[in-house]
Amino acid sequence: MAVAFLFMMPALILLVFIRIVPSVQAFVSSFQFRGEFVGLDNYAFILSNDRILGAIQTTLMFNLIVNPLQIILALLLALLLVDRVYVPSLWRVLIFMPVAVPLSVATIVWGIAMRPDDGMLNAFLNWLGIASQPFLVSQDQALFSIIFIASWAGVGYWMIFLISGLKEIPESLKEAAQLDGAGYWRTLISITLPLLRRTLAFVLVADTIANFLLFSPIQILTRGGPSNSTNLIMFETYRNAFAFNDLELAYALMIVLLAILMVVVTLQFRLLRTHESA
Amino acid sequence: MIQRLLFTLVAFLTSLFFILPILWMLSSALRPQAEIFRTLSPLSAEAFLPTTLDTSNFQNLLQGNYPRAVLNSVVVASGTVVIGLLISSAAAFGLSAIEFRGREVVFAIVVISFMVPFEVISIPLAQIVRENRLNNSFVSLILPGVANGLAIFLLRQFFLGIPRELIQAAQVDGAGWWKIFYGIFLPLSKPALIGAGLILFIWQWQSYLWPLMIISDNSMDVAPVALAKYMGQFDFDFGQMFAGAVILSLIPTLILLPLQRYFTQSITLSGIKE
Amino acid sequence: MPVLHTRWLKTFIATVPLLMLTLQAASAQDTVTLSFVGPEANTTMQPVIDAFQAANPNIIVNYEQVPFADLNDILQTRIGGGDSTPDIFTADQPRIPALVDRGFLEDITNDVGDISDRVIQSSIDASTVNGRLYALPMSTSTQLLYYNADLLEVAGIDLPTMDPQDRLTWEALTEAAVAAQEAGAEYGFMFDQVSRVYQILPLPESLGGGNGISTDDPLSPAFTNDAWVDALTFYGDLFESGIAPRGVPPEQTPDLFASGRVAFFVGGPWWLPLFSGTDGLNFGVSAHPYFADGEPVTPTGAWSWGINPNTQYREEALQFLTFAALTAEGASAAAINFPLPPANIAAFEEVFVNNIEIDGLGDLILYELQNTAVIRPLTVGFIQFEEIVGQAMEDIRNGADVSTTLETATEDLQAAWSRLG
Repeated sequence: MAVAFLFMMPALILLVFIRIVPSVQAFVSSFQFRGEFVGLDNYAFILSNDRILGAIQTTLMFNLIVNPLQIILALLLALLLVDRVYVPSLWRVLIFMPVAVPLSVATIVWGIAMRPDDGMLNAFLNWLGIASQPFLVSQDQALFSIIFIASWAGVGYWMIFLISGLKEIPESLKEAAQLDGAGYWRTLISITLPLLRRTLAFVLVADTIANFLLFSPIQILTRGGPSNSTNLIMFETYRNAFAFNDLELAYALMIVLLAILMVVVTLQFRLLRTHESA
Repeated sequence: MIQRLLFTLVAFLTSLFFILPILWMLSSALRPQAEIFRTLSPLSAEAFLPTTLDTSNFQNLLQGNYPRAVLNSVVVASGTVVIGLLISSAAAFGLSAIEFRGREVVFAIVVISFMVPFEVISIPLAQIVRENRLNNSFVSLILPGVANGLAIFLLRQFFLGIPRELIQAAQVDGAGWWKIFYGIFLPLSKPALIGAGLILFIWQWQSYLWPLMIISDNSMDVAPVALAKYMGQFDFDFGQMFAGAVILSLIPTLILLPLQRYFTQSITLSGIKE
Repeated sequence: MPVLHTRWLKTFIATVPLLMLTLQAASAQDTVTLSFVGPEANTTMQPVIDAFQAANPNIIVNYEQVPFADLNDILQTRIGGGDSTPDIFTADQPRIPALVDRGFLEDITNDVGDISDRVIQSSIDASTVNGRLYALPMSTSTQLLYYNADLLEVAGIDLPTMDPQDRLTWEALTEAAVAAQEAGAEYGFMFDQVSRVYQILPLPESLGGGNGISTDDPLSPAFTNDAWVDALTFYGDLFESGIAPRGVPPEQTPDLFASGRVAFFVGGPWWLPLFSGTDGLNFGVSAHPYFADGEPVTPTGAWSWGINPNTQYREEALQFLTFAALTAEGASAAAINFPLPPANIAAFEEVFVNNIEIDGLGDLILYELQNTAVIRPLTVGFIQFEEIVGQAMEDIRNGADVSTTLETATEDLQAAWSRLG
């Protein structure tokens, strides 16, 4: 027991001082206004403010779509590129490259690509015979456009981890199943995926958290618009903290976000039942 | 096999989708700014291929502060990976191989730590750094990056998959925990270590707000901050920004390429990978 | 007595370096280093800093550039933390009331007195809160109507003149824009800083709708009146009808005009070098439009430099500011590499006007600054105003219903302003 703490101590000390303690301070501050204690006023403000409530709803909807989407895409790519193609390393690296581009620059590039009149994306759609789309300037398409950009920038990252996880699964198990007559998908569902559970848990939780905390494309491209259709809690938090300098409200928003995240992540852990060791 | 060729074609087309915007950035960096927007539409290969080879954007970058900034980014990210791997693997080991009461609570703290949006808590943190005169130091850039709960999480997941028999066998042989950690777990964990290294590296590589808040000395700027300074109030130099971004995205990619083969390792001693 | 001599000599030799070091230390203690934060590149600030340091060898000014997009955010967090640095920083003029309210700017009224003989009045007003001066104005701004002469000629449109009395109305401009498009121009018209309060506020102001806040209470929104609705309906229609493009952010608009794709462009004089230097762009300049039923109104205002109240070097900071803002030499040095017109009158005439290659443009700019310029609303809640009203403008640009959007924005702003205590 004491030995365990020796191993964990350096990391724990840093985590506690750099992440946990400031979070607790933020929690305490969320009950203040300009330094004075005001109880639940900030939270009351959040719960009575239509715009923030809308942001909570939009955030939930955003995550309901983007997380399964990205995990499934990353998994399909991982299954494809684990060994079913020639020169897999090349494709993996190319798909990974967007992860290395600074997100702000990637966002600007996609913003240009999505210009309704003359962007490359509409040029491509037109070439295919499809009418031009408004993308980021439309209430109905803006959130999906953000999902699209975030997926382009992040799927390669998760794919790499899934490939690593897939590689851990012994061929012998899969071969045995195939000898028994199981097809590809059958093997996938009954052998591969259960054995991938630990990696999947990691990727799902990590991706979910990353998406809940996403705000940079919103900050640069839409600032919550059009008509609040892309207003996410994290963007509201950032805006209140930095632009409006309303730190206590930002902390309260952060606590709300954390609470929602904790519920979601706990559910995901339950779903994948990986708190037991191998 | 036909199937393999077909899948390779699919892989090629998919990669094209991911790589095209980066190709566009490269082409745009190699042409005069006025040309960048001229070729957006209608669809043409010209937009994505470097038809002009005007290297002035790259030259300007190389003559300015940018090489220094890229070097700073590499140094800070590398330092983060080295220290971070040590600390995270040790912590992950403590949370997986050793059984003790309250293990789940500690793990919960680790997970919560990376649920907290760093941007928000960076405000009071930056103040503490400044008050203690620790701003403008690589140490204060590296420390938050090293405390990465995600890396610990990844390594723990991997360690949980290492059979307990290995530990028990080693203990029967009289090995202490450190020996088990160093001699058994670490060598078996190359894929996870690379994965954790990737997490640490990318977190630090993409880090923008924290360096912005605590570094005021130009010579210590990291690359993303140096890039942002090219977009002024009245001077939007897209070409230079893209040139800088292309350079920035090449480095982690070039690091990842040779590390790929370490992903082909399996922990089951009986299975041998191709 | 050789021994005594040697001893004295040794003592003397030992003392001299000690004396020199002491003297050096004494003068080193007199050297003050000021930290100065702003969004401009180092090269822009170098001339004024060099000139100041030459005249004041015991003061060093250490300038740090912060990326423009993050400047306001970073300043809020740095100065909000109670740091003594930066000693000096650039303050976006409409944010000054909020900065003062938060205690981020030092009151310098008594230090400088009346500066209206040296500095443009509107910029003084923009740096003043409750009659007290909190920053020294460094720059101001105005807006011009650029036109593409080739596109206009093909459409048979008369080229506008630089006479401010003869300026186009928005209505006439729209007609000309449509005509230009029918004759082949891709777009008829575009704003420089599209959907930004700075750029678009003159539209409702021109119709007499006010600047968006109540005259009785600077924390009460007032942008749902008829003039606002009319002005912003006009704004939204420009995009709805295809005269101006959607989805192009301010950073990408100058390129539209420079590449000859748009017939008319309302933008700042700082684009002149870009447009003049673009081969094949045959452009002209005219005065900012106004509504036929209203008054000509032009945007104005820019930067003032202020002192952090927690600074340890108030005197030296003041010295630098007064040099840069109030002396012809300092203001001219500050203006050399800076694209905006200086607020300092002498520097305006010597540096800015002299650098304009188009005859008569200097007069037009001066006319606008003195007659039609209206500063942005002075309110503690300007940042919230700018963000929320700007977002409303962008929503209207993208097709949202004007009245609904303005009403929702009013509620949002009221909620945000309720947080200001």
